[in-house]
Amino acid sequence: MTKVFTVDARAILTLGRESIKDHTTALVELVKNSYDADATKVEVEIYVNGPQPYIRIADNGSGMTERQVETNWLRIGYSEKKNERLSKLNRRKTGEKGIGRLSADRLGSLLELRTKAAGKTYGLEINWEQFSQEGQDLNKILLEEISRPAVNLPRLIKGQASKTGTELIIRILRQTWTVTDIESLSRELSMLVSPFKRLKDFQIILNTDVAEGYSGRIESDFQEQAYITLDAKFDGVVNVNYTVTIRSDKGGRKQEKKQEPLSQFIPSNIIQTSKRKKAEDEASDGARLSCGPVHLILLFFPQKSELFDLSQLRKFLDNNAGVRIYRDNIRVKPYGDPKEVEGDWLKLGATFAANPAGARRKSANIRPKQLVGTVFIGRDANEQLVDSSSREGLVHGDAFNDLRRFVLRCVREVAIYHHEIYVKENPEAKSNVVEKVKDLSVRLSDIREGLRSISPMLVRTAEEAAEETIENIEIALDAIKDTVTSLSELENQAAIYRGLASIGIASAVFGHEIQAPISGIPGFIILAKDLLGTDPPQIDEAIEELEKALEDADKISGWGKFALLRIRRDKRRPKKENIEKLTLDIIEELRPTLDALNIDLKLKTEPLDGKILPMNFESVLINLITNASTACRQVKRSRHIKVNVKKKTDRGVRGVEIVVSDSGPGVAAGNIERIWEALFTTKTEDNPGTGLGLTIVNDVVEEMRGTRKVDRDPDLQGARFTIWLPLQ
Amino acid sequence: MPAIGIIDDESRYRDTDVRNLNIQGNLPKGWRAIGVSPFPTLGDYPSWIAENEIAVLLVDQELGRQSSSADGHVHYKGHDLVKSLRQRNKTLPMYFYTNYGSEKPVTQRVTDVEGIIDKKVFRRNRADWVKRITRKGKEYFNSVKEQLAQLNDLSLKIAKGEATKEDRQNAKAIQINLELPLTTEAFNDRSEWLTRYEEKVSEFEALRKDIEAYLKQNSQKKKR
Repeated sequence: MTKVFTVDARAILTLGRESIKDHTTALVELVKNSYDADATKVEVEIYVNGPQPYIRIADNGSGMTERQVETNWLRIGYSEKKNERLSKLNRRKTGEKGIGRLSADRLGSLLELRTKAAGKTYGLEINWEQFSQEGQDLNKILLEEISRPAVNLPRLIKGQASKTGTELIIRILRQTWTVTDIESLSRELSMLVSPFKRLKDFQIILNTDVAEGYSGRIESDFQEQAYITLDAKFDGVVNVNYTVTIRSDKGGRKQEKKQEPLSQFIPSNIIQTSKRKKAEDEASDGARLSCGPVHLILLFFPQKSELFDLSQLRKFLDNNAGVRIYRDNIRVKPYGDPKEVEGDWLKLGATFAANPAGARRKSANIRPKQLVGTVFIGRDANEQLVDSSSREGLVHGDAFNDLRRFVLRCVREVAIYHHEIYVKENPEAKSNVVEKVKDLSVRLSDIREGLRSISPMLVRTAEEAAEETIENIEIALDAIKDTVTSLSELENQAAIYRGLASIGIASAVFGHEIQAPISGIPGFIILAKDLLGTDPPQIDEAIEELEKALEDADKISGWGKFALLRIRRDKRRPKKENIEKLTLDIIEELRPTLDALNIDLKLKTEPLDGKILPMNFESVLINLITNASTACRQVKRSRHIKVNVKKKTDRGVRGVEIVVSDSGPGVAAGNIERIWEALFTTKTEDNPGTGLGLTIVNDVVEEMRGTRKVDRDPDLQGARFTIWLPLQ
Repeated sequence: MPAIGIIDDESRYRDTDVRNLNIQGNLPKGWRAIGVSPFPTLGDYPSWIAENEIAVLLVDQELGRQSSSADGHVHYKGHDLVKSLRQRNKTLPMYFYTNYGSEKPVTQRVTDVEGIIDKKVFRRNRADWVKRITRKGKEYFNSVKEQLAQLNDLSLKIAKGEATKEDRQNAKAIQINLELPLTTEAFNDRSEWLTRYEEKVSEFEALRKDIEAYLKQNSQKKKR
């Protein structure tokens, strides 16, 4: 014999009224149901001061037919959200347990459900008190249908009447509503709407007589709360204007406005693109974006408890994280949808997973969940961005890829700002190991002195313990002293390796200029031989060829001399150096190679002496020149390098400033910090770079507590590197 | 007279190579060597190749190191040039002539060329390499000469109105192969050409009459 479960009617109360935290939560659950039903507008009314207080929640969502009410709404535990996690508008459905609708019981005893779908209206009245009777089976409680129900639904975005939707009216309210309740409700509802005021794809209108100041369209204030906001506009042709707003922990705001030509914002040699596009870009001397004008707003929310209520932030980000595209203020799906494969169209998740470095690293990436963004485009203004034939999304051709390039570049800008703020707020992140160890040594010495001073005042047993502690500290100090010595030795060794690496890098970059004479000399000599063998011998021509051979032999030996001089013993220890002579020697050694590449180098120096590790100085100068020569060859204009070495005092310290400028493409703003990272290179297969030269420069600068800067040279139009190193 | 063409931006080495090859006895009889700096665009090469009867081409890879003209340095490399030329001419013998034969862009285009010649090796073993490349060049040059002679015969036939459909097709194929402008399709036969000629003459005749009438009318008005 078989048995079945039966359900007591009171189960409804357990699942509904008794499990919902408070009436605000209950109301928010009902609004979420409207969101899941693809409503574009929800009207919430709370009127408690009249003779018949009521709550009304009405939406212009999909509505329900009588059959759907019976099989879905009235079926406890049924949730279509379990099987269909996304609505027809691709909204991530918010509830799955199939009991959200029971929230109505938490709000009041009587519920009128009126719903319209498929051209028909259906209504049902529920008296929740019927379910509190003891011993009643749930399925024995009959619910009254509303005869010919009139339903009042919110209008659609463009003002026309909605043909579908649901209206709930709740009466005999269980609790009073206070101003605090309305304030809390308003805040909770604001988590559901977009932070971008011009977007209207989901609006909530609240009307209440409890606190009329809260009546009106629910708006989110998260746009103002963002830690970093980037508002960028590309005019579709040449210029990018952007404003970065940074919110401080103390509540203030700092704003920076910038304008850059597109070719600098996104240089064509940086971003991977199709060969055809690359050819077009090269023909026009810089990047072009075929997507048309774009307006983009990015809001960045790191998990900082001092800035945000983290639980509220999580709720907000659950509904709003992602970078969405709106065309003429209508959402273009699926871009920005969290669970759709195509939703993360910028591949922020994959990028972050490949490099999850924190903000202390220059290469840090942004997590998709930290970013709320909107891209505004128009059908007419951006006619190259066409709909895909599958009716979802856009065609992923050149125009879409260009749009992606632009947005990614803006995301990169936000990441850079985040890193820079982090480093400013955490200066110890930049100290080197030796400094940290020295600092530790000083602190331990202080402790030792402190103990010594109190030792005579201690009772005998404590004094012995103090003496033992002092002894241990002294042992630790000796160990630290040895460590500092070892670290200093390591630093010296590192300087030598950098010097060697610099030679290697220069060889890799200028290698062809050495290979050419090596293979050319035999040609000159063989020709000279043949010329002397003719009848009559062509002596003058033969001499000409032999002179060419000698010139090339000088080039080869010059390169050998260059390499050997770099690693001489006297370069490996800090000593008083004639900085001007060091500079002149290097330039003289590199000049033949630069001449072979038609690179004109102009040098400006002045007499300057100082104590420095020569290898460090040379590593910086050689790598900057090597980098400059590669840059010059990336553009069509004539090739120039300017070098200026002069004395400069910085923060009261005497030092040397090295400025190297080139006529290359310059450094894109988004790469200004990345260029110093190991293996980051903007060079291409045709003009390869090692990605190590500027890393070496950066290491030297950091070790020597120097400074570095890169900007655009106003005359040569390429990059200008300014390095300052202290002279001891 | 068939020629070995050398494309290299470094004139010091290029001029020496050319001079070396042109010394009496270093090339087969009737051959010469000619060198040139890279042209501003890829489209400039076919006419130079045709005018100078280049039968085999040696192409340096790094063409942008030195500039030789007001246009400055070129931004294409040897492999770009080889690809461009091969699209237009399937049979011209070409070699990479470089110090960096193992570089990826060069090796990726190896099927477009007869081989990769290391400059150092070429200079030291000039005689062997000359034999090899001029043999390839001779095959090509003779084939071109033969096709030109064929084209000449076919053109005469077309002009006399004696060409068959097959003759016209063969003529077109040769012109395409040799990258010559297509001229044989302008008229299907002589009679059509004559008819169109006569139509043009009639048009001119009508125009002449109109002009005469107009002038007569004007002069009568003036008299009044």
